[in-house]
Amino acid sequence: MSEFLLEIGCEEIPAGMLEPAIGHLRDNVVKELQAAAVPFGAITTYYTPRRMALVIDEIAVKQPDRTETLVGPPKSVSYDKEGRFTKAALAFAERNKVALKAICVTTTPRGEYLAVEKKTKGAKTARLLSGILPQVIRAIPFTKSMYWTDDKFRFARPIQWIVALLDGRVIPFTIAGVAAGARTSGHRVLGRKNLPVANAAEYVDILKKNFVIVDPAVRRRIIVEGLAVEHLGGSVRPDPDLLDIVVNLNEFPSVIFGHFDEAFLKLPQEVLVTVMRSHQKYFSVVGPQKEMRPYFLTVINTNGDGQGVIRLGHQRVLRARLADAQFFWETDTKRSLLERKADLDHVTFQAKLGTYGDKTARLEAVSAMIADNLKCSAEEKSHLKQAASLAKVDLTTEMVKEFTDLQGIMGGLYARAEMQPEAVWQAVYDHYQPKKLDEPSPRSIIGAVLALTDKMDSIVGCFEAGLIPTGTRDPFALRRQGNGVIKILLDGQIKLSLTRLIQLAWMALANQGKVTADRRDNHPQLASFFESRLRYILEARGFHYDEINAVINVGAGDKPYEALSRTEALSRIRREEDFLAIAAAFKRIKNILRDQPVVDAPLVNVSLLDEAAEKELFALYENTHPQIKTLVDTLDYYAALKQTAAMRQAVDHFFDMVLVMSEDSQLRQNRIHLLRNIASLFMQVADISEIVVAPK
Amino acid sequence: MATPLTFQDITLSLLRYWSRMGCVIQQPYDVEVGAGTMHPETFLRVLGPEPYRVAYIQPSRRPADGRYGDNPNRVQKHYQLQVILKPSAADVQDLYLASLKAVGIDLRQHDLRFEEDNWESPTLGAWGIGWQILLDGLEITQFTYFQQAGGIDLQPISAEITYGLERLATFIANVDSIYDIPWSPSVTYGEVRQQEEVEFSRYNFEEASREPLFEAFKAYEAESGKALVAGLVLPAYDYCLKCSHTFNLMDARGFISVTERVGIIGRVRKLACAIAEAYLESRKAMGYPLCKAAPDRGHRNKASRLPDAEMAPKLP
Repeated sequence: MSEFLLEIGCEEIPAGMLEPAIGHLRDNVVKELQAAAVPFGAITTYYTPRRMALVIDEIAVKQPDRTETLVGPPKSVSYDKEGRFTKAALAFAERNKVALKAICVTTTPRGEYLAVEKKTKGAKTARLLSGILPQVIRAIPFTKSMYWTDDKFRFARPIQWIVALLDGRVIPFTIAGVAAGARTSGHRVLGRKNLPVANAAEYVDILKKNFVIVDPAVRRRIIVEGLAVEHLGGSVRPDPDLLDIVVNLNEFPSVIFGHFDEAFLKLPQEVLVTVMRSHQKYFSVVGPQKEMRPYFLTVINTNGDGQGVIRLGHQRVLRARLADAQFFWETDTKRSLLERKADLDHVTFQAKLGTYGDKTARLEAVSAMIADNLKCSAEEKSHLKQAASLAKVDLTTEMVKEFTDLQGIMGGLYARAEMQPEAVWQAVYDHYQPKKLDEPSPRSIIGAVLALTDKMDSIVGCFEAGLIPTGTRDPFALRRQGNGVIKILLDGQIKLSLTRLIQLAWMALANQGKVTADRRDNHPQLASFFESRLRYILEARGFHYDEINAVINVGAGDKPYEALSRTEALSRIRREEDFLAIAAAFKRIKNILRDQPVVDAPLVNVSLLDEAAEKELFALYENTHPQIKTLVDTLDYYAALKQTAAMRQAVDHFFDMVLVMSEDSQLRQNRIHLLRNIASLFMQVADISEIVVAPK
Repeated sequence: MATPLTFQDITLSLLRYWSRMGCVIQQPYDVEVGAGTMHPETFLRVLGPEPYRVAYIQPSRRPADGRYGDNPNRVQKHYQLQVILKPSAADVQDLYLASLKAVGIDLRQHDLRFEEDNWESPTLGAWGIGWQILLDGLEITQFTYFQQAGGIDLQPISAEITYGLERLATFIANVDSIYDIPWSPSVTYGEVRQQEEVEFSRYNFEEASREPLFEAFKAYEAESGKALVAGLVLPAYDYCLKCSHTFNLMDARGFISVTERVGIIGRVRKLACAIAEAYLESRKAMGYPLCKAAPDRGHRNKASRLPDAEMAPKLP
């Protein structure tokens, strides 16, 4: 058994591209080795900005030898009358380069045939790898790649060296003019170049001696330990996304802290955090009350900062950045949001959907109607109106032009600085929320309404403008906004239907002439778009696909909050024995009904109820029906399902005692009507026939 | 400790270094530009097959970056030192790092990082892939492998190295403000340039007048087109640059709405792309004169820049 090491040395690869790239490389190597039937053990991957590497343990030195039986012509045509080989037989031997005496006869299901056993010696792994490696390296996909040599080869950044060693021997191949060899390179400044590597076993250590921590998990640990500061009167503000980035931005990380002028603490925390994070990739430090401390933490790509010069450099840069942010704040606050509002008429939202001025008018109109629907108070409505009119104004500010991530947030902060009511500035502040599923929805009902209105306007508008997300293409992040809509409805327990929201958004667009009346037919596409968003969110919350199907099948997906309640109830009750039995019984009912013509109002004729079991079932139905209805109306879906499950005995008894398909057509029809009523009762909460009953 | 290099020492040292690396040492272009990339020695030379190495200083004007001489780090005009290696060299990163040593920077004492930063100039129909190079968190250089210019795919690929000279000099002089950089042993950057910053900030933000600038833009655009029709590529490009600067000025003054912006950028790009095509044709007609003289430097080819003033509208 051998050990294999591959390292692709590159100019600095962007942090976000490393993990996906190494994953692809690894998967493709596995696939190719498996296809070549080369046995191998564990694969370990490593990477830094300047290299991607993988080590394969216990890889076989060669493919196993193979023996295959090659079947030739039928025996009947292979010998002449004298028992000598015919031309067909000779041609077979020649084609496969075997001596005549190697030919034997084999019996197949189709009769007797000539055959030879052909042995193929397994190829050497080294030879296989020299074919596989250039191919798998070429196949690594990057979100953005470049040319740099004459040959038409693209990669994230130029390849500088390649190490490919099988038990210390170089696997020869060349890619983009770089020949694989046995030399790597250490840290750009601290390490050695042209560093010989003898084998895979010493790879990690050799790099460590040359100031490269090649294992990202180790770099992460070093950084996390470095961020655990105690002497700055606070602790690091957690930022997992930033942590992921800095782990992959350094070969030899250490953490240092720096200080900034306390005068900058007058800037809002959001601004300070963003200035530090977005340009400089600094972590902020917060005190016990989550207040900002005048410090930052940064991960440097070198062996500490003994002289403290690096800290001084970073402090100086941050001071200039903060001075800039202060300049933006001061410039922006020279004009009030209200004064700026007219500027929105010159900011395009989308070519077909008009300016942000147009969008603002729609937000004002639609949010007011949603507020009516939700029976908001007069005060809430007036705050909402104000928030809607100011929501987009921050797009004209210098701060948002510089830090796009702060859109909405800045509007809220500027509104607060103008002494707008808390309800107003908070609604503006929150209205892009939630951008991710783990982010909170807007904190107030008017924030929720504003956020819903804004997202619905973008989604419906973009669908109408033909900008429908497909595959991986979703330039307007409509899926994310769709998730936001669903999440807000769920979090706020808002019982509005999507149909209603779509209609309101659409009407506002139509009133401005942005969409034409004959495009109403787009709504089915929107419905299925939102259905898939709802499915996605319910799955993310851990519900099973069959539960989600059962709820969506009864058309409950249009009201996401109710859909969630139904799914919860279903998920809770499905473990109960009665329920599983009734689900099975319901499947049986559906099977019977499947072949029967649908009747609009299947009336059961009491006088035609013949058997005791069917009378009993009908009586139970009559009794239960209004109860379930009431429970469903009050959204008590669990109790409704419980009631449904309680019918189990009567249903089972009915099937035991009564023959639905009676010879008497009147009796038969009446029984089918009865079952149809039962079925529609069972569908009140969810299509429970969808529930997959796990075998015990 | 030795006296740190002055601003003029730094520029001279870098130019001397790149001269040793085989660069033509060119002079700043005498038309207002937003970035060294717009100098014809970059924008046009990177087109086509002819090898070229050039370095020059380019004063770069970005009216919107003016801060009335107050901000320690932002100015409406700064100096870029621009290097083009066409084709790029396999060891271009090392060449760059050696240039830092040439201005006395001991990298072992500092935190050096190449962070992803791809460049795109919608006005020039150009883009490339590369990094911003950070020294102790300060962006001192933009490094780009040019992939396209004037809408034309590039082959060979050029490497562009753009030093932000003020940034580099504050770093080397260890001062907090660019105005404190020693320009010469006896005169500071502020003494040389501060008045200019104050006056131009006021002019750019407060005094520039709307109609004459719009008219000038239209006139430059027409003149550029006219020159192009006459087969005069380089004069056409001068007027294209004038359009670009006039646009930047109007933009800083707030005369241009985001809606108009896209349209105007499109008009300048159209000129730039037509000029790039025409330039290529002219070089081809001349039989690519620099091709025959190309010494074999034994390098694999490669390409680079700083963000333009007219970046794509940053709209959410």
